[in-house]
Amino acid sequence: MRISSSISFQARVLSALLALCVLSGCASVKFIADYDEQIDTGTTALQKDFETFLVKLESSAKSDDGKVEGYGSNKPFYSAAKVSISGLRLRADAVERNSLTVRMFDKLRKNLDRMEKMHSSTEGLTPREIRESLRGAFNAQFTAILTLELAKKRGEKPDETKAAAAPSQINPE
Amino acid sequence: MSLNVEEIASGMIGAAKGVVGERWPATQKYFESESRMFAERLASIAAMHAEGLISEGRARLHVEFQTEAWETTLLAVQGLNQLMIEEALNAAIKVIRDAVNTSVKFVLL
Repeated sequence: MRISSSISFQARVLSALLALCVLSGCASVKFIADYDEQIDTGTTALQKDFETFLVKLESSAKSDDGKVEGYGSNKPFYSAAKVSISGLRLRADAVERNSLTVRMFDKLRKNLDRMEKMHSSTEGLTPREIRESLRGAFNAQFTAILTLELAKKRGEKPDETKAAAAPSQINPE
Repeated sequence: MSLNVEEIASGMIGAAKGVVGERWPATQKYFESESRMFAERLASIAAMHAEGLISEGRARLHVEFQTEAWETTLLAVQGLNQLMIEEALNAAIKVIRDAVNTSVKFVLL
């Protein structure tokens, strides 16, 4: 009984794969866009810019619970970062089957807007908020974008060491 | 021309299983690691609010911030899974292509 059901299951799987094979002309299937070096290097550079900015803000406060340097003098960073994200998003969107990467850049942009809202409010920002919330979240987003982009290279074995110690926990201090 | 359907089916399933077995552990570790850090950051937000460092409105904004980042991670996991399925299907397709081409003794597929 078990053997016949196993055969039946295998036959069904084979039928499905045969149908897929016929539909695709027995060529390889592709669900996601290819690796794009410019997305990789652009995102890596943007992460560095964000980190440099966060470190600068943290060091501008007189104490851990004090306020960081005001929004006004840091507005150029937000403008430049928006342009960079927009450029990367545009490039990702120009490629077929790349909607996941496009959506990830949209989410990065939303969080940049949220940080700007926090920074420009009367409450300001503290180094502790940067250290315990903002940095980790931004790094999780950059890690996500880069992890998927590098996986698009295909054929390379996943790096379990990297996966086990994702860089979003790294604190430069 | 004779094709052993059972043998081909087993080969296809084995090829697909091999890909999943190789790829899934890394994705799982990435997901687990990010989940843990997401939870830690939420706990930090609660602590900052409890200590009076941030207002309730600010705490909500931080939670939205973390949720957005978490959703970005989930999109990456979704992409990694799609790549894994793609690779598994291609491994299975290769088995049937090789079997058919070997059987007919020319490149048919």
